Amino acid sequence: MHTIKHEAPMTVMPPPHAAGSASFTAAAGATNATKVYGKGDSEVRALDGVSVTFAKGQFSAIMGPSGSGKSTLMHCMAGLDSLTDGEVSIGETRLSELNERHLTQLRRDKIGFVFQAYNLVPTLNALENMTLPLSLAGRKPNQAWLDQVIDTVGLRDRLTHRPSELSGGQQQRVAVSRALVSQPEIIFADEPTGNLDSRAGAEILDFMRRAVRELGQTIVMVTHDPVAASYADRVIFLADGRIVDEMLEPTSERVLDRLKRFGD
Amino acid sequence: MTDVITKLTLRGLRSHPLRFFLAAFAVLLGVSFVSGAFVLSDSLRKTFDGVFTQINKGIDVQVRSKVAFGDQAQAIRDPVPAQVLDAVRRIDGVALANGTLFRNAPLLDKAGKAIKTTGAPTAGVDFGGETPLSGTKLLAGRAPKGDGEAVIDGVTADRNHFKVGDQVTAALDQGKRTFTLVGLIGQGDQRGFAGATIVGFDPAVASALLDTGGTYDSIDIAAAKGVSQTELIQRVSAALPGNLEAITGKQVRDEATTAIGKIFTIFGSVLLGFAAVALFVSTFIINNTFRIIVGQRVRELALLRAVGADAKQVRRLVVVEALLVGVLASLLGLLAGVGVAKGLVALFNAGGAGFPDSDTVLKPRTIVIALTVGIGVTLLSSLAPALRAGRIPPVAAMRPELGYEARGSRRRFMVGLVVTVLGGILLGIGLFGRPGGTVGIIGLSAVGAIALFLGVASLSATVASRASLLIGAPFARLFRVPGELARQNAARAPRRTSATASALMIGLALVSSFSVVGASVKASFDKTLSRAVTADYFISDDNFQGFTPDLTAKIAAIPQMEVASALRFGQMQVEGDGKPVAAGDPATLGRLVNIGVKEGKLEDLAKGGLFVQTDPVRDLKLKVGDVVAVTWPNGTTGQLPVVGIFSDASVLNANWLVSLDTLSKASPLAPPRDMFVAAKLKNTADPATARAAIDAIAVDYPEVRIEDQAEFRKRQLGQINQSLVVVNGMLFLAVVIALLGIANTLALSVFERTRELGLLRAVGMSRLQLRRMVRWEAVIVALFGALLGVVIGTPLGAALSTALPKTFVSGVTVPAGQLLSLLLIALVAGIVAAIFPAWRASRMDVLQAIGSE
Repeated sequence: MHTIKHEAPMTVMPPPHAAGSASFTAAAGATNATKVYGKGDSEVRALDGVSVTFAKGQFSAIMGPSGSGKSTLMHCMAGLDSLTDGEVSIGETRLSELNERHLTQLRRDKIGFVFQAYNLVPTLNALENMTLPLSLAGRKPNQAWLDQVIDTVGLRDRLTHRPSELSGGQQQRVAVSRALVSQPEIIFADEPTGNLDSRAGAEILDFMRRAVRELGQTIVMVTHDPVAASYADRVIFLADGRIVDEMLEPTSERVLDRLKRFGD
Repeated sequence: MTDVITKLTLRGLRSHPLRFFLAAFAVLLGVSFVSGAFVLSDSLRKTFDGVFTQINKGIDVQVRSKVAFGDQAQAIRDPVPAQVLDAVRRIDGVALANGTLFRNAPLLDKAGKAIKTTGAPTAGVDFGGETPLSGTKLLAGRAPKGDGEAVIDGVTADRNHFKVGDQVTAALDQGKRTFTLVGLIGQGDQRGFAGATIVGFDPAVASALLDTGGTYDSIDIAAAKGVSQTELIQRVSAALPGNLEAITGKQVRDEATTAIGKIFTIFGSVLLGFAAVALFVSTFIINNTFRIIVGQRVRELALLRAVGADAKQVRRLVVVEALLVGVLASLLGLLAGVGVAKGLVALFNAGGAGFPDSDTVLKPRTIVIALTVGIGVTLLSSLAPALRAGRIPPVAAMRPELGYEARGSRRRFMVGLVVTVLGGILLGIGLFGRPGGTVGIIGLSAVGAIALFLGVASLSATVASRASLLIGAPFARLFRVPGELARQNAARAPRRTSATASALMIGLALVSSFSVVGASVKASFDKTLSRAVTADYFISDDNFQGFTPDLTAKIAAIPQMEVASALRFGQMQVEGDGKPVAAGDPATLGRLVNIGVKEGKLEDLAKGGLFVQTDPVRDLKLKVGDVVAVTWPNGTTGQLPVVGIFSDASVLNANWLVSLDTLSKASPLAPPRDMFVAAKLKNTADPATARAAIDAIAVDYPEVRIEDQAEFRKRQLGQINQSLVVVNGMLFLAVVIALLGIANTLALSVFERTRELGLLRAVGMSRLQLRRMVRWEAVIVALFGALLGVVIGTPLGAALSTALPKTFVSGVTVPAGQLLSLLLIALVAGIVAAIFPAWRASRMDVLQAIGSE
């Protein structure tokens, strides 16, 4: 068993031999991240002093029961939401030091997103959705890279289709491509297979893993599906806003076993 | 590279055209009224300018009486003695000189009834054939010769089926006379004279037929070759007595065009006022539409933010959308405005206004204003929603509930309260403080009213939920589940409900305030009639041209008649200001009307003095015995002693009263015309026989109206009602726009609640019930708006009534029945507004609806 039990909160050290990562550099990290919603009696500590580092070129999964703070952690890491206390950084950049404008630029240039509900712009076709972040930044996509991404996701013949003309799996592949095309430092994926059947889900996960292994991308994925988590190099378990465990080279059985123990 | 924001906007508009259609339609209606007002007044002005230039083209110099004060172009001038024409004709350098006549001479149709106009004159003129001096053209036949022939204008002939060779009868002051119609005349290139009926006589006999007493209205002169206008003016002026003046043809034309221009400016301003109301209402609709759309697109906009759009880009998305809607709607509105102008001309002409055929004048000014206003209003309305869109946090892409950021309702309430109170104060100052004349009154009142409406609209959001629940209670009781859901739906989005209702509020507030003013005017009129007037009969005419005093004398001579007394009206200058002055018969006036004599006796007016109303008595510190220096329009002056003071100006509509003699002596050349006669029967007289005797006399004066008290009252009240109908008709546009707003909001709500509606259908709600639910929600919102409108409009109307001159309104009357019927109208309007959204809601596919995001 590689499962290590920690006293929370604590820092999760980078794995010494993470698959697919040549040498270790932090793509993103959090230090004592705390997020409190509400005040007084209705106060909810969604994050309670989380410290974690995500290595470059690694596929990480964040798991935990509902309300464990996994989505909040991702939102805060991605600069979508702000912390009450603590610090998150993307690469060398500390998010708390950024104003709204620079935060927007950071999201645009350094971060990619994949959402559960695909979240494509319904009025744009597949290709336009893929290149949307670049268009917003007023930049042209790198054509060679774009072609590589398109071929990897196998959407060449669907580029001019609107989202409503695509299946759920295809839509999510467009969403993943959108995250990849701008070559961000890190991609955050929020339950990317939550709305998909298992076959389409497997396609997406496989594709995300290839993006890490073959394209050197860094991906952090929130999921509650042990099968999805098994595609990752490393799984971090959250409960009640704290990191309670970590697992390297997970399999779905081991993840499931670990999750069952949350019920105890 | 196409800008991605523009691309997103265009795609959004293309894929949701309906979403913007109704908002665009609101702008379109407003803009079409604005541009219609300009196009109409510009077109008519150009046409009349053309007509006047044409008519007066040949005049080099005109001789007329001077006026001492007031508007030169619109003044009523003394006539010019006929011998002046002979003198002028003898002047060296005068090639041609003709006297002009334009006196009352109504025509009778083939059934013997007077041919009515809508306020335009019924005139007799002298016509000796086409001359370079006059724009009058012979359309058919020839000029009349001797006192047995006449010509009439082409339009009147066409309408009444007269043709050359027919017999035509004119009701002259000296009695009815029948002439052989020998020709038809027109003005310039027109067949008619702008709605007037014209009969032309041989100049040699015209003066006698029209009883001019040997006078002309003016003398038109053409210069001989080689004589300049200035030179001719000098020569003519030298030959004129001091009370006459010679002016150039250019001045004649300028005065005519200025006078008509003023009328069209007023006319255009009134139309613009209504257009402004419509646009103001539109801003609510557009604002609400954009706010709802932003609310519905929180997820999409947050997504853009999440993938790298900055707040500015998201704001721009909303603003560019508004810009496109504004541009498109304004352009279409401009086109529609041309249609509105043409439609209005047709409408007025159907009513007999006799506007000549006109080119459509679309000035660059109209285009600029229409586009500026339309685009400006749309952009302005989208500003707040755009700002709000920019504040949507990116995280809302995953958790849309975070996108709604409720502004403190307490702060909103306070701001609303302050704006409301401020608006009320401004309105009060405007109406009662009256700083800065008409501009100040209208400006302050308008700004005050706008603030008041905005304030109340803002306040209404805080009560919208409770009010909806309250108004909806009977619907829930009557219509069970659909009624209850309608009630809850109206209550759950208070901002939306209040914004939608506010649009209707504005229209109905104005309608109800005018209803209050109308009711107050009517009640005041009734009060005056019953309190101050003891006459049984009233004689007046349609065109305010007056009638011959012979008629008054004949009525007074009827054996059953106790007394008949005439009123005339004029102007005089006191302390540098022109004042309306009434003239009556000192011996009989007091027996027919009670003007609230405070001091003196009306009989004393016979000595040539003045009665003055209490207001000017106070303002000018006058007392009985003081002598007032007055100037009459023709320049004669007088020293009139104050012989009495009266308090009630509502009967005479004037604060100054003299005797008929005093007024006549002031301008002896002007033919005396009675404007209004009141008559009273003897106590012993039988009304039926008296009426028969009156009617027997009236036959010879077809243009004159003789009414008993009931008839007189009915017509006067009818006139007030008619103007209310016109005003409310104009405000109808604002109400229609508000209804569009209700339909729009509901359609958007239905779209937004697709999933919820699908669920209701899935668990067993029938299409009918669904339609009912939407319908009653519309009715609840409409009733809320109508209630707000009536609640604001009633005190507003009361304030307006109080601010009106006392001669017009002496107390406030609230027409409860009418106001209640407004609520009923709102109910029906709500049902109509719901037709489309209810149809859409009931048509949705249940499975798809449940599956939708």
